[in-house]
Amino acid sequence: MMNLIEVINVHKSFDGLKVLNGVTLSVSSGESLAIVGPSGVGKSTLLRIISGLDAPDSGVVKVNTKRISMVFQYSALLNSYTVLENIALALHDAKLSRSEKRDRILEKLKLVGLEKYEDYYPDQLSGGQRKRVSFARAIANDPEVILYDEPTSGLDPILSTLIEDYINKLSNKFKVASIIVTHQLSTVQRTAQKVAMLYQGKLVWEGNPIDFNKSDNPYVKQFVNAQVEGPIFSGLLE
Amino acid sequence: MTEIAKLGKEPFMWLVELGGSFKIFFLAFVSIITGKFSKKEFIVQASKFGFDTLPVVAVVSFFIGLALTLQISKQLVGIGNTSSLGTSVAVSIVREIGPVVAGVMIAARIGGAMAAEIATMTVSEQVDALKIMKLNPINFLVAPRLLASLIMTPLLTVFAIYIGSVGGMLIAIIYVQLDPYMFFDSFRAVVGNRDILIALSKAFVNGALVATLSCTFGMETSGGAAGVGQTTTKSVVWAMLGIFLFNFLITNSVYSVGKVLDPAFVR
Ligand SMILES: Nc1ncnc2c1ncn2[C@@H]1O[C@H](COP(=O)(O)OP(=O)(O)OP(=O)(O)O)[C@@H](O)[C@H]1O
Ligand SMILES: [Mg+2]
Repeated sequence: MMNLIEVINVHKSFDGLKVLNGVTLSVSSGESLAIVGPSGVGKSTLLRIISGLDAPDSGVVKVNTKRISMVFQYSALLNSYTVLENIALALHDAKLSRSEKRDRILEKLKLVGLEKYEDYYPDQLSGGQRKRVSFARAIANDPEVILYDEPTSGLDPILSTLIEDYINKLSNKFKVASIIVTHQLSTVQRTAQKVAMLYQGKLVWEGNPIDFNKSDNPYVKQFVNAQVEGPIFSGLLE
Repeated sequence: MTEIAKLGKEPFMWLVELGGSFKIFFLAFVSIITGKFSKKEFIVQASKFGFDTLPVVAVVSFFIGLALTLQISKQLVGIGNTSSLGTSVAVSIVREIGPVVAGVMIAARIGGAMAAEIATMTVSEQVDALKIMKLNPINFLVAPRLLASLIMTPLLTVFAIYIGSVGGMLIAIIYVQLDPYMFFDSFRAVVGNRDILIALSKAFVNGALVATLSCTFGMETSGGAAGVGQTTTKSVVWAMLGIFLFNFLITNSVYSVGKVLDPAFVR
């Protein structure tokens, strides 16, 4: 199995604040890695570095394909474009005819239950609807690597499952390599083969989802059981 | 960084920003020349440009035409030389007022909106989404706006000159009771190709300034909604400063060059 994503000892600071302090991970084709961790630990920052949007201060990032896409945490749809046009942008270099493009877009919209919204503008959609359009846009051009920044946040449980099933289909059937940043433990359980927990700039735990659930690691335990008491954020309680 | 180190750096920040603007302008210009820019965006931007600015440019240049001619005619009536009213009004409107009024209104109306739009797109990661989709922001956002601005600003400048002159003529007819033909004869006699050239070169510079600064500052924005507001103000202020500065520089260089080439030109 080929590693599509390799991250080796990545460091990143913002104005003296150390956010990533030596992160190393790899994801092979057809594999899904879930990254969890409390708010503000640098999950989005890590995705931005892997995607090439930001450069690490030090360390190596290798993505062995050009076909990479991303679901942004806050959707990042273009405001002045309709839903259809937004997805069409992802297909700008696809070798498809006009009508084939349109069919492809409608197919993806149908998949996320938004086929009637093709002419809507992003600000006419709810947060969850925007998230789904963002998902449709990310998968439109058959990527080999997809970085998901909270793909199921803001969605109801049924839609969450629908998206999770599709993430699985992409990795099983189309051998997509995924990194899924999520706060939803159900998403971890349903989509990931590997889980990593990011805390204080490092991956403090790595393993499979089953072990994740019953881990004795104090960080993981506190996170999985949603406890206020524990090593995470202990400063907040004082 | 400590506050003191920041202070030391601040005075030179504008130099860095100037360098950044030049780079963006150059890249967008290359994108226009090589035809890599988004044509669809260009059409959207160019039509928005016209619709948004035509009314304000018309109103402002009309009133400035009125006021300017009124002022000049007062002086000329005093020395009993109203026949040169057309000449004086023509030179000021074509060479100075038209380009500056159009430029300033475009900076306020279009530059502000452009900066706010690009800044919003930057802070809400829309520009990043473009990059992920392999759409180059220079080709997709900056070049179409620059080209729209380079085409529309000269057109609007000509329009401002025309409306301003109509305002001037109204004053000449109603207030000075000048024969409209006489006004326009002296107007036409003095406005040559070179005046048009001055006006148009100023317009090109203004158009380049507004689009380049708005896009550059827009793409450098950080800090959410407050950042967007700061960028908008900053773009408008810098564009206006640039417009006044280059307006003076061009006028000045035309006179110094004109003196050498054609003494009669410097009236
Ligand atoms: N452009 C930036 N400039 C300065 N600081 C930043 C920047 N981007 C992120 N940070 C800081 O880096 C840290 C990590 O941010 P990041 O968005 O990666 O967190 P996150 O793990 O995705 O959090 P959440 O789960 O809430 O989305 C935060 O403390 C944030 O303030
Ligand atoms: Mg985040």
